[in-house]
Amino acid sequence: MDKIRLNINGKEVTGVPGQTILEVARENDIFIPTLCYDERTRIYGSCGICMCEVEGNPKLCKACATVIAPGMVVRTNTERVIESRKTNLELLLSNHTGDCRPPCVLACPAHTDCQGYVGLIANGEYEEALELVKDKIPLPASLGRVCPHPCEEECRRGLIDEPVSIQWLKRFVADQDLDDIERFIPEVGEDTGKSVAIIGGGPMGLSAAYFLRQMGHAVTVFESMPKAGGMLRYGIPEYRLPKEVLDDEIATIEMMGAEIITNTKVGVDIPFETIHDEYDAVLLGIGAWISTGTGCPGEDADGVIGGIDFLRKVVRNEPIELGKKVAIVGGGNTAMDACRTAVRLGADEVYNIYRRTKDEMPADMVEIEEAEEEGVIFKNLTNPLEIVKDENGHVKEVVLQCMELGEPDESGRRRPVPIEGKTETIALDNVILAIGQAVDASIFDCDKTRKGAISYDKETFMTSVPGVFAGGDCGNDKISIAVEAIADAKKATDIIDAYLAGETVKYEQPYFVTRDDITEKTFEDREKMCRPEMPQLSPEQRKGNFSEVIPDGYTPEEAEQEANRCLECGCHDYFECKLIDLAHQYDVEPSRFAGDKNTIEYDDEHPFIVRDPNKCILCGLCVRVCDEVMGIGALGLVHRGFDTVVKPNLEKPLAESGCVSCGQCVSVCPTGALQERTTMAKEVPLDTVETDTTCSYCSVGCSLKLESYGDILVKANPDKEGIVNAGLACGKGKWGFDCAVLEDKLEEPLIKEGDSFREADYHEALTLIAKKMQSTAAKYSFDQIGVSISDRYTNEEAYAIKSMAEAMGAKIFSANNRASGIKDVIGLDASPNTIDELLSTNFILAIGYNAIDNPVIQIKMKQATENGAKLALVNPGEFPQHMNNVSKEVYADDLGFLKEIAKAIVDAGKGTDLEGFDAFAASLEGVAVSDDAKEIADMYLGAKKAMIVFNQNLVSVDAARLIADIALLSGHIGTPRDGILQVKAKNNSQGLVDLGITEGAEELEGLKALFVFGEEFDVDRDALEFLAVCDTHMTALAAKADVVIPGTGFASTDGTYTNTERRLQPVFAAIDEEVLLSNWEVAADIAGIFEVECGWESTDDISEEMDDLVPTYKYAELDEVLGGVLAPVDAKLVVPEGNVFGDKLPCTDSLMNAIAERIPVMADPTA
Amino acid sequence: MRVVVGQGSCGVATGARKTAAELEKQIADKGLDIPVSVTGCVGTCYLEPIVDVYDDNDELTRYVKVQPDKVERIVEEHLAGGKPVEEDAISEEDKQFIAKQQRVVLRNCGVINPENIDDYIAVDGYKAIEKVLKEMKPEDVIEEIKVSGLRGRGGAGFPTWFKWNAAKASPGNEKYIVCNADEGDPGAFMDRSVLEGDPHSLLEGMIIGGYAMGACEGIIYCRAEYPLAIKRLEIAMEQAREKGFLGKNIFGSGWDFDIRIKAGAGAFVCGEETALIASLEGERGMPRLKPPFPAAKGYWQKPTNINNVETFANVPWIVYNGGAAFANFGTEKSPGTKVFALAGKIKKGGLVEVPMGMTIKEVIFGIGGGIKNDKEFKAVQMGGPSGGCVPASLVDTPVTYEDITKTGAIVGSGGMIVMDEDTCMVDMARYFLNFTRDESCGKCNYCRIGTKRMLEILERITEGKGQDGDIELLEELANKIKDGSMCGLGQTAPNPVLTTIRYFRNEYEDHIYNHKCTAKSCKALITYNITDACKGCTLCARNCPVDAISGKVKEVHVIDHDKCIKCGKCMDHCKFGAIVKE
Repeated sequence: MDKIRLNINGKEVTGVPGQTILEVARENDIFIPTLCYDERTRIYGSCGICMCEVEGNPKLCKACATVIAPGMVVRTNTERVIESRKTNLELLLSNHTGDCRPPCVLACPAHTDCQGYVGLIANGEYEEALELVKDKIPLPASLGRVCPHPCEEECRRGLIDEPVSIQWLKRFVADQDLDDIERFIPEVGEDTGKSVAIIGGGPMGLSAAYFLRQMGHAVTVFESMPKAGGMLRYGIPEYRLPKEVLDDEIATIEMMGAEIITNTKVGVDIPFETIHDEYDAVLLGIGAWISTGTGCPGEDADGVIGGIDFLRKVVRNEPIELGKKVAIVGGGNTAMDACRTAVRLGADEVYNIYRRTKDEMPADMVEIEEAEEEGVIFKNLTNPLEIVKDENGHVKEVVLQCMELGEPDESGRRRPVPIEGKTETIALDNVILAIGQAVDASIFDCDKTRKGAISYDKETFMTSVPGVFAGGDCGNDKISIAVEAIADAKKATDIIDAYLAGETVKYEQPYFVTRDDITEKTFEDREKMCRPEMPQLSPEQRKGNFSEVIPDGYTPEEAEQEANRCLECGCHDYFECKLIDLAHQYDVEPSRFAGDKNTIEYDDEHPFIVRDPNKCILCGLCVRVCDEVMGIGALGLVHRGFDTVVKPNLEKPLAESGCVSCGQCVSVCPTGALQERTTMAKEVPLDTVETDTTCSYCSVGCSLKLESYGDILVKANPDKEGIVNAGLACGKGKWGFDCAVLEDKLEEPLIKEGDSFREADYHEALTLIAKKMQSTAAKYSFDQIGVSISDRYTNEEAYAIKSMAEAMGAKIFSANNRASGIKDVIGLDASPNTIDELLSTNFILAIGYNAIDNPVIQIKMKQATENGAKLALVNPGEFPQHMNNVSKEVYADDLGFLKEIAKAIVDAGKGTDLEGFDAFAASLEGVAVSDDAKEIADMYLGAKKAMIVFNQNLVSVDAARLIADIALLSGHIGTPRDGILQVKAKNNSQGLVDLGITEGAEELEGLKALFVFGEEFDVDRDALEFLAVCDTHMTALAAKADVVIPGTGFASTDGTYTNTERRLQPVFAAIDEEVLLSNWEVAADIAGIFEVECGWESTDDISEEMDDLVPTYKYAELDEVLGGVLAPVDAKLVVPEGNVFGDKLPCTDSLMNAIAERIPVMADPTA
Repeated sequence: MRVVVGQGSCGVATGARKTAAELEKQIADKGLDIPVSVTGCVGTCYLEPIVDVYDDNDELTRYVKVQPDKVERIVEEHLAGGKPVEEDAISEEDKQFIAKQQRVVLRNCGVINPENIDDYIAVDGYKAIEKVLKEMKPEDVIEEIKVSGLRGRGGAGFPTWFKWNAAKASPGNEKYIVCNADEGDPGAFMDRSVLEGDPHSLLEGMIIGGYAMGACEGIIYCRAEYPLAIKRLEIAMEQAREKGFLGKNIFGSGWDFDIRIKAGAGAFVCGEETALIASLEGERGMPRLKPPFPAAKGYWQKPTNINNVETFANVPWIVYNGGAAFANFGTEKSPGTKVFALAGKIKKGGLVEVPMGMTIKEVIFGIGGGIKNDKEFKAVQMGGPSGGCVPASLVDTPVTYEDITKTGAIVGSGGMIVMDEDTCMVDMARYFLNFTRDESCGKCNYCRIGTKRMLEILERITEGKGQDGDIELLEELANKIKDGSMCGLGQTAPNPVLTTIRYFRNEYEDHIYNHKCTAKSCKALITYNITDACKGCTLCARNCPVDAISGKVKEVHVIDHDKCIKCGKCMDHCKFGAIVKE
């Protein structure tokens, strides 16, 4: 076919006729965004995001739908295109209801992922939680103590009872980390060769050092004080923040390679110019260290101290002459700190003077309350008029102007107004002015603000001096809180990083969809459940000392309980939402189109799928994938225009709509309108890591992308690039990925004592197994000890277990194995043909086939019929199918009908030269060929290419023989698209056969000792003298065992599977399970007890050994079919012995059985 | 002598069935042997119910606005007495309404009995298909249509021969010819008129088209809101089958062709070809992307041709009289005649069929008699909600596809909604946008949300809450919706807004910046006041539904603006012109 040449964005590319612009662009790595495209569905073109310009066409074209033409010139990023996309996104967002991010995250100046870490704590993942906190907050133990937590102000839990104590939870994980021997230290970036000087070692400077080190820049912090920490150290009293905690956190930053030079004041000890010259960039973070006064007469009196100066002197143990009566002026946290410090220093009367009421105080309410408990006398609605000096010039008394509240000012607080002529005088020894702080930036020669702070660009953080940046309080006219300084550090360092790379970036506040319709009423049905009480020192215990008021923080139980109060406001799909991702790329401003939003009532009761139609953008992907790919049609569009909504069939609950829980709709949904109901204790939006692996639940071998976060398995999605499934999957793969790690997972070896189990260590348990197996063999015979293994285990696990069995001298088998019928005829216990050959054959004869077992094969058959293949079905009566495109459908109770087909083929004169023909033909004598059998035989014989499909464990061995006989007779065997697809039971059934583990449940007969890996079947326990089970959970079989060893699942395993078409597929571990030994290590250790040293360090070593020793795998390559299309070996016709057709072997894999129970409706896409 | 009562939907709506029943009763009572039969709409809808009396020489006397109370006299004097009742007969001026037209499509409407195939045959019906089957090859038919220059009368005006030819050229034996009888434009009812008044001309047109393109079946997609049309179509099809004009071996030609009706569910978007096909297939009525065009892949992916009723109704005439005869009418690029539905503030509302190229002025003033109550002509909305408004200043524009498109409007299906000085153009745009917003299928984001947002902006402007920048925002959205929508609905939905902004931007600005509705129509922006002309008759106060008017007898009354709901009843009732709207 001739290629078409076109030009996209100036790049000459080629495509084939019929391809769309989008397809060609993707093949050539030209990104065109879209929200409604999926290559598996018919062109739909609803979203319009993929618009592009085609030269000569006055209109914009949809790239997903525009077929390429010779000479086409396409531009995908013109201003007109960008504008169209932008407005389009704005329109979508104008009707999108939800919270991209929760209110707590948006309220935090540093946008710390509060919901994320609170959720991780609820899941018991403390280390992951801490790492998430430290993504934004380098000093979490300190902030967890002193942050005024704006996050909690916005926490919607407060609409029910109390906000989640986000701050204390932060402290909890931070303390856990500091107590840990292996403290979390973020990875330091590769050395960039660039250096940054940070002037000022406060929260801003330290945080900047922390972030810059992660980027790989050399960092030097210049600190004028003897120790780093800034206001956290010198402005916050010990009873709120023990300095030991701060020291620990600073030490972490130093361990990351940041150099902190203390006692060095820039401009005094070292000239600024030197620093400016020697470093590639400079960041100013000198804070605001000057106490400001009220300006009233007498402020120069002895005994008047600035608030911040007072606190610093106390920290540094400098001498302070504090009298008995002390007044602190101001209403902020510094004022409260000064009040409470004065109490602790022994003042008899401590006054707080503040011109408004407590309600307007900027200080935390808890600080105010605690100060009051400690005896501070609040003189609210007063303001110093004059400080009266005694004869020595020392404070004697203060005259206070009494105030009242007037109209609200710009800040919304009611303005204090003096009451004419009303004053009050109190006698005092000291006055501490904690009114405000100012910046002393006199030594820096850059632009300043009106109040003398450092002036810098709020988008680029650069001062008027190129290469010199600033952040934190030194750039503020009004002082702020530590977390704002930390937020500045994050933003400024991102910009500095770009600056050092020669780029210019600007900080822009990203857009998020938020809800403003949440009120107390929204949650009125929620149970009230206040925070666990936080133990703290009583006022009597604390007021005479500097001990930390909250000495211990939460216990793990309290922390998890508290974390579980989170309402999960932020969208769970935030990290995978394509809408918000594009919104950020296109810098949207949806408020331009603010208007009505749809509010759709919906049910949300599906066991796996969470729906929220208010987040739906009507791309139609779910509806189309359900219908066109899966053939189910459980979803549809209802109403029209602005009111259009996706609803389950006939407006039923989704679970009753025909939905087969395959989860394809969720996988394709570009927003949070369809989400997985995960198995996490608390569902958390997480930026997960994807691991490519292969599903372990049936013999198709669907490629999956497992999403994990730390050691939490979050979700699984079918891989669109999957070599077999090409994006298809069923519910087993979609929802079964984490079965192995779900609740009540076994974590320790158990040994039976009496009627119950006791925990044991591995050495004891494994030795016991070895000895019991050995002694039983000695007592009876080696034939009477056996090892069984689930056919879900990887080749490497199976190889290791087989090696162990050999070391023991035990027989090895899988109870899920069925003897091969086709092997007797065509000499192969393997499917001669592969799954995708179905797509190009002319006739498919399904004999003994069950769609529920392997839905993906069913979809391939459906695709084949759409491509023009004819399909006929001959099934045992007890396995009805509901296929739509079937040309002929026959149900039979025994092999009679298959014999009729065979007879019809013989009658057609086929196969006469085959070995065993005469006996076979003779066996069919007297068989009367019905019209149905004749019709099927004619279709089969008449087809150019034809394939038989059957489930091995659904039909008897005799049936399989007859199937092979029929194929052999007809000649439809041994070439591509012409043969048999034998569908084995489980993902590695074929692998076990290749490894020589071919025996099945019949091996149980006469056994006296048995060691079972991952299988679940009935045994005569009385006949067994010893039973050991290795499995993930306490199965019914494990409960009968003498020893139980914890097993692991496929999500924590590296290795390979061999699917039913003999394709070697990779398995990669996404997580580590909390189990000491993996399955193969158990086997290897036991082999070791038998003095067989396997010497494997990892599964790679097993693979290598296996490749050497197992001929099938000698030259095997991943993702390749071992041996291609197979021709029969020593073929001969075999006369079936019995007459049984359907004979379903019950699945013995424990996890598979667990999933089958979980999924309400197994996928059965026979439509 | 025979009597015919016009019983199209317009006639039925004004009570024609009662009139007909009364006629039959009185004729029977008098023992007269005069048949009363049915015909469709003749076009002068404003004169319904219409009773045509043909004397024995087939001379016609047309009675108009014949409510049952007028029947007695007509029966008495005319039917029994042989003397026409001059004063109930149509006026000379009203006769001109039809006399000035050139009727091709409507040639039989209001003339023949649509429920009797023989009536149609009597006016040379089914002669064209007979000629086709006996004398012409499919390509000859297409050539004839090409010569006629017939363009699709449904909206886009695409050359009919081209579509037929494309469907003919598409490979395959299974092809379909579909009639779009889903007439959805508010104010357009010419298709209904043909369906109700002359269904056989549609059937004949489809059979000819089916033969030309090689179709195996015809489907009429008719809106379910046209029950009378469906009924008459069913009768017509039954009669045609009986005559052997439909079904197996038509006219003994050996060619099989039949037609079936599919009732649509009333979605405007199903007038769009691909949405119509989706609906026919039992899917949700949502447009699909073109290409592929229906001529290549249409109904069940088979080659399909879709034309509307009016287009098909032209076909028998063209084939019978020759394409050149048709091309003699109209202009070079827009040949033939076109039916327009006159509605709105026009004196004589109804259907008119004129040669293309006639000016808007001639249609509205020459035939339609000008503006109701002799108010000032302000604009005409042409082409329905997908069209645009043509201002009075462009009243001399000839009605051709090209000239109308230049104004920003379209010929479309031929709706003409006439507006006078009292029509607020912003409100008019809001009205049409509300329609399209309602009818959007919801597939394309721009159409689904964009029209909604445009409507919200228009609503706030008419409510006096318009903001600086709203006009620009409307223009921006309008152009992006046109650019970003898949089908004709979205691509044209902003047209009424764009054309009103183009011609009446000052009205938008008045609303937004001066808080004034130029036409004094938007309630939020007007106030009613009583002037000194008030005589204190108290009529206004007594008619005010919210007791907002107070005043003593014989003294000037006052309106309490806080209470006033601006219903205008006071103004309607004032006999002294003392109440003014500002």
